[in-house]
Amino acid sequence: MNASLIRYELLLLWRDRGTCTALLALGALVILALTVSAVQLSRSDAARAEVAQAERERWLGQGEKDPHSAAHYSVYAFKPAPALAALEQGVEPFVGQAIWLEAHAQNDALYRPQGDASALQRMARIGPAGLIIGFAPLVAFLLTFATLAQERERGTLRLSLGTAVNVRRIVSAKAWACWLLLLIVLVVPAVVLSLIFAGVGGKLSGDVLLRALVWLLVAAMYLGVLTALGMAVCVRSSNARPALTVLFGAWIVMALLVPRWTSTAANSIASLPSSQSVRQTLTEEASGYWSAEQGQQQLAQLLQRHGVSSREELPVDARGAELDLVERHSHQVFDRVLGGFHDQVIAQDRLYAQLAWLSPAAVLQALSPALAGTNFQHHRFFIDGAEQYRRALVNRMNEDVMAHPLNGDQPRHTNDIGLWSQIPPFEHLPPSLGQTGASLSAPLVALLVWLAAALALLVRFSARLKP
Amino acid sequence: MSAAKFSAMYGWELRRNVRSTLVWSVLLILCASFVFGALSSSRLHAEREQAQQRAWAEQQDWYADLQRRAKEYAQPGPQVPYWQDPTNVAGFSRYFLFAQAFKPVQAAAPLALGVADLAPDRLRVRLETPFAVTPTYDFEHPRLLAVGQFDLAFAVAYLLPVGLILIVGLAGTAERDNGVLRLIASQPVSPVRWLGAKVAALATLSIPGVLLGLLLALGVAGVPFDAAAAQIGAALLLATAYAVLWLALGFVVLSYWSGAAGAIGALAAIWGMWCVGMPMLADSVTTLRAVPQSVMQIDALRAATDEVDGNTRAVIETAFKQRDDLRGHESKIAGLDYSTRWTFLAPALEERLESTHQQHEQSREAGARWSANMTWLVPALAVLSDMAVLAGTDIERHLRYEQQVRDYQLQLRDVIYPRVQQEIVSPTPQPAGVQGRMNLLDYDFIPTFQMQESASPALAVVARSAGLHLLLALVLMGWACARLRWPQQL
Repeated sequence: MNASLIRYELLLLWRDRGTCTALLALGALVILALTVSAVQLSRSDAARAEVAQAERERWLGQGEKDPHSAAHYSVYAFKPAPALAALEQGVEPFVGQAIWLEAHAQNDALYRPQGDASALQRMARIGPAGLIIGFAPLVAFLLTFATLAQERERGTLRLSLGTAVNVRRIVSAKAWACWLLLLIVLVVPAVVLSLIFAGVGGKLSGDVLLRALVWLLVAAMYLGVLTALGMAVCVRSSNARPALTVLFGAWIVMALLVPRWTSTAANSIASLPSSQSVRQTLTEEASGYWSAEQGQQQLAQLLQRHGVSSREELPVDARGAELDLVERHSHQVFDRVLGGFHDQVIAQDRLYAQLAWLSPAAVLQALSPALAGTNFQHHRFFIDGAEQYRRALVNRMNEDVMAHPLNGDQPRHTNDIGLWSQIPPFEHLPPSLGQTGASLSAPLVALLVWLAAALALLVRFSARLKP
Repeated sequence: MSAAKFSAMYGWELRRNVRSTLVWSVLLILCASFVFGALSSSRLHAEREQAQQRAWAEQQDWYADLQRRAKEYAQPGPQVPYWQDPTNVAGFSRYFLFAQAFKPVQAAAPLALGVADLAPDRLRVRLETPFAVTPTYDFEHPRLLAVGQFDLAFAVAYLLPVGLILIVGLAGTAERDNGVLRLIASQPVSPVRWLGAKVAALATLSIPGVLLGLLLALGVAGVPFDAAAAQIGAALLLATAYAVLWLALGFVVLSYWSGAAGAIGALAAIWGMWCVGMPMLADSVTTLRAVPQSVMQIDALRAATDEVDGNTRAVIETAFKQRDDLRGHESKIAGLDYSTRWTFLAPALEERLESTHQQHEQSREAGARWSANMTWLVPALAVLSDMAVLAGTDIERHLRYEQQVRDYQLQLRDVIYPRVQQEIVSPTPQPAGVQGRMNLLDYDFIPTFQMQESASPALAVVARSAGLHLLLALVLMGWACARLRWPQQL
């Protein structure tokens, strides 16, 4: 590698007005998308924090009441935006940001940021990472085309090759120049800015830095694949038109068609059960309301469990015990039905990652949200964390009812802030990269294979470069 | 030397395009994309229809079970608590009412997914839910939504222009890149006729190809051509106008006599500006403006519920005093069950939430309006929006659906609440010794939801966009023709 040759190629590329305008325009769009995204996220984080604080105050200040009523009143759990969500939105706009943690039900996460999106909002929802994944190929191919195919057309390549000791050095310098320009204009500012936004939001941590670093490396590899492919095509083609056709076609297929196609295909192959059927199963197996007949069966079960023959002989409060029985039964159902459903969602993501081998853009579509902590696997930590919190809260309330046997007498047992304050505030702990890293292996291998194949092609064709 | 006729040049270009592998490859890929897009959206719509049918069956089973229990509770036995008693009208109103509102899937639905993958088409209507609609939804894999759906509207709005860019950029610049243009320019032929013949020949092949591809896609997706004839016709018109616009843009770019790289680069830049840049900029304007955060609705709801809960007695007393039939019965308030109390509290809760609700609705409507306004500037958005309207998956139809769901909830309250409140003043005598309260014996009086569709003709939906695109194409062509000269240097 010759640094002065790379500097010279960089200078030539920089002087190519059309190509550089495209690159800078994309760079500007990336920065704009990142800034807009960061502003949006900081506002929604502030709103969530404000409501979460109000919820906590409401929970503590709900006054004296039946603990099971308190479990129904309960609180909402809010999900703070992941630290790198401004860089890669992933599934964040399409997953609920708040869950009502009431007794008897594992509610859905609601209030999706894009839940009410207009056609324009859907169309414009391409974040910085989406721009890089979708449009860096086009710009990378334009750069490689400008640096090689156009030079050939102008006849300047013949001059360069005439003076070169090693043809590969020329091709290599051109490839390095393209790659560096892409990296410097598109990826580095995006990562640095997203870290600054994370820092401003008080979310910077070792894990976030590690994620950002790996994201940068992965994006650099992606740009490497694109540069090598673009250069290989331009080196291989004897004139500019076929090179242009192949490169433009490659962009369409690689960045526009395959990611959406693989995503849709994964959804068709490993289709998910409908929400309607999931809800129906939950209603049938773990309804929060029960009939008089079911109530009698539950009482019989309790009497048998405690070895007594009547409600009055129960050592615990019958109503509390019945509520506890139903609640704990529902946990098993939720784990099986909803847990199974969420497993299927993650399995579909794994299938997508496998199909994504077809295009480096699709590979990055799978990798990028996983690294930024914005894929469904990360969201599930919020769902599961909130559910564990809900169960602890409801169980504690029911235990308190059980511990004060009235068994039909009135008034019902009540409790106050002494009990409510035993429940700590909900805090979402996002998983570390190490906890979710296993899912990265398949797409990382795919990207490495793409990089190796693209470099091998470039090396092979470089030797045969003709002016 | 006589000037070459337009028809002769057009015929020659057409024959050349018919033999072009590139043109056929692009058309084939476009058709395959249309078919895949239509199939993927029809799959989702079919799933939604099945879910609606299952939900309807679930509702029927529910009422059959209630009827069975009502008969059982008419037998002597211990009194069933009111919340477990479907023959108690108060208990029924809160714990047993099963009313659903379905948004029907329309015949031309495979044209576009629109908001079908985001917004629910099946809502359970509860009497006490403020304003009837909660932010529930049918789960679609969020990755699918994040990566973007591959539906027919995507294929038409995004991929069709890209295909045309490739065809025009390569086929229209062959002479320039091969060095033949110098020879042609030396002939007695006007550049307008020559370039016009080239683009017209491309249009002659590509537009029918695209339309046939669309028809094939809709046929494969199982769209009933008779029931959706108007929508299909309108979609074809929209796609034609959109294709003509892109061909006209191609004509303008070619009129600068750049090579394939320059032409494709310029057209790709326009595509990027229209499909990505402008929508992002337009959306940034609204995003950077302070919009109400949806989670703030939770705060408003919780605060209002607390307020109503804390003033239950006062709220109900006020309601009693305002009603001729209830005035004088205030002494019964303390003995009212939870469900009966809620027949008074639900409207009171809505009163307190009215401003938040209005704010949220106005924000949504403003978003939809802004999106509609931007269709004037962003042709791809116009295509996406119009195809969604034709498919019945547009945001406006969804907003109408939600409004009708709200009306339905009010209708349900109108038939159920008076029955519940009637029991305060003149309770239905309970047959001695039976298990149930027996003041509600049949459920046939509950109205069912039927969505009322707006009657705007399909052609009217696309007339503005198609007309605008054709007009813009005409202006662009006219402008290019007016400035078109053979290049001075080649």
